[in-house]
Amino acid sequence: MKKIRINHLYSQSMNIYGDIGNIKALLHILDLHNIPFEIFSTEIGDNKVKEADIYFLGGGQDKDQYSVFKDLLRHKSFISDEVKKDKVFLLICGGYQLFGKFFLDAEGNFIEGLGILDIETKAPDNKVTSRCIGNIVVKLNPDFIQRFDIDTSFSDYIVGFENHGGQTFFKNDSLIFLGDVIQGFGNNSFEKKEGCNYKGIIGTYMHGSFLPKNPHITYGIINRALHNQNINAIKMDKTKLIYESKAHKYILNKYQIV
Amino acid sequence: MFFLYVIRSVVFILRKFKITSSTAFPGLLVEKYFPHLVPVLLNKLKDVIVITGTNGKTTVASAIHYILENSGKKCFINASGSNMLRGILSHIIINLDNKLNLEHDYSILELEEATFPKLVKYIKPKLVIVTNIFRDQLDAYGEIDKTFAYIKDGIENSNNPTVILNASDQRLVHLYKCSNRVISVSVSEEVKKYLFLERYYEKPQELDIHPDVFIHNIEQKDIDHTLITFEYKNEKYDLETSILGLHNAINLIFAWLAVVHLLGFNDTDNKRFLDILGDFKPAFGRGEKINISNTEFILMLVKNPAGMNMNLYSLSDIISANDAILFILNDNIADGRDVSWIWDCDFNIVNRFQNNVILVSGIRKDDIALRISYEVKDKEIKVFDDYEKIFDHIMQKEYKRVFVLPTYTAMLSVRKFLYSKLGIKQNL
Repeated sequence: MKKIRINHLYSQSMNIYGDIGNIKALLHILDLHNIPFEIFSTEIGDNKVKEADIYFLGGGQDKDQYSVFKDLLRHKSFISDEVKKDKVFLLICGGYQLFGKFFLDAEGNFIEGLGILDIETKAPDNKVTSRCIGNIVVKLNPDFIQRFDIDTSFSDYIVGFENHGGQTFFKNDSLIFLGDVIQGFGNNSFEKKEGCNYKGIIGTYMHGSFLPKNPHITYGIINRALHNQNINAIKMDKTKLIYESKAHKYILNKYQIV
Repeated sequence: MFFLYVIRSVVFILRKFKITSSTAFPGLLVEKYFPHLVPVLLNKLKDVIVITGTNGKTTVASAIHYILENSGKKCFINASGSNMLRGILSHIIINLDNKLNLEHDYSILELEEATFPKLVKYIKPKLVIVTNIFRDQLDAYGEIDKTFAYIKDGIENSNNPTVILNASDQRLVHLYKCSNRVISVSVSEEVKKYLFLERYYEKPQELDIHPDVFIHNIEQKDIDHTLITFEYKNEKYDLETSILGLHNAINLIFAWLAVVHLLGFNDTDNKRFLDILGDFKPAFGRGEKINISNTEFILMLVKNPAGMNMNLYSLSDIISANDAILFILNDNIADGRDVSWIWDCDFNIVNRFQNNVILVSGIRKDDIALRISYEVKDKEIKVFDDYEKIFDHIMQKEYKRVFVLPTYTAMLSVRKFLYSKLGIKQNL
């Protein structure tokens, strides 16, 4: 059987919000289904990005993010090609912002992004009083469920913790949201929409970590990668997701959802 | 002065008749309605020693306090939990005598990182100890770099204090330029392996550093005996302590070094301070031991990945088959509302433990159970809703020792619970 290759982009610079849990979740589920995998990373200064089936990019501190911004631009054409091939990308917070057109920071600096996602992110202006911090609950968008073949028998929701100043807005109708914000902020403080999906890319502000508490998304991601390799999809066995289910439901119960 | 006299009297009466026991109230009153008294109050502090950093502040402050008091010095120390400006002001007001004097020789201030630069506007510390800077409560501070900036700002505006720091910590090396009086501690490669588990991405500045203290070895013989061997000014020293935890060993050395800097003249003094320190008991919840019937509970506060990893490393040698480990994860403001940090902890260490059962509780028990289930194989994870049920389980299984790793508010509540089992009321 072919291996599922995971490339953890900038694993050393973009790693302060527990996002490594997403990698652990992918490996956990791959392991559960005896699917062989290979994991490697791409760091600042590396000549090229090693080809993979699933790419992951987490969030980092401002200073680290600026270094990553610059470095990532060198790999723009390779990444664009991979996106065209429907490769899977999971982007959290800063990683999500980096795939957009630009980021305008609090000091007014214009930071160019990869421009693969038609989104713009700006530091909060005076209409927004504080950072978006707290638990977040999102009801999944049916279009996204369909595109990623999400098994909603686990849940119709995704849960996590957000912590961002940046306000993200879509600039193109071809992008879809991951869902409607039931609790928390999401992309920005106005629209009550969270995340973004374009081709194989999932961008989100959810830490927590995101995937461990949302295994239906983990399955969606893995199945998409398997599909790209013409391998049959794997099916969720909910009896093996007891801890996941409890952690997921804790947040839903806390806000009296379902 | 008149206002201060009135405030002191009002606070005295309120406390005497137990109308309020709030420790923040007097400070709040001053900050809000009599801001001109803030410098007046802070100026009462003599020979200020500031302890800041993300982990270990309380242990270092308590240990300095212990050595100084046992050397005949009277100290003003802000209680743990009152490490912001308001709490310090309250503590000063409460301790004023009838003539509005604050009788003491040294002020030991444990400062939350963001409070440090605020304080130095009013008062210049003589000595600053920076324990470390680890990733800590990002929902409150946003970033590690910000924490670093607060501390740097505090030192730079402190009128060239003596700074004690850990030179093995690459991030802290950047503070060298902030003061021209730096006393540094460094550790051997062997010790380093267990202490600095966070990776750093910036290259350390190329500085020619000769550490003043070099820690050769930290040997945990058993739960009550840890031997630290180190060198200071070409002289070898040993410190034997009952305090558990490799990280606490470094904290004790910081405390010793502070006292040596303030009071030490010769090797005899230095050794005497070490003897005193040898009898120091841990600050509450930080290695504190509580015995109930045949079980010993050891409370080891954890608040971030570095603390968790160091505590787990410290336990790996000493935990035995009839011991249990209990994780309690809360997400109140004082714990950090974001529990993502547990994914940055190295729970793989637990696989090396001899014990078979992992107990889990707290507001976010399901998150910590999930996290541990990913890493720990072949051990049973038991999830509990409340302390009574855990306690019943522990008493029934007759564990010899239970190592409790709680977050801050969980530590306060579990400590209160355990003392209540001994018939002791704890208000902390």
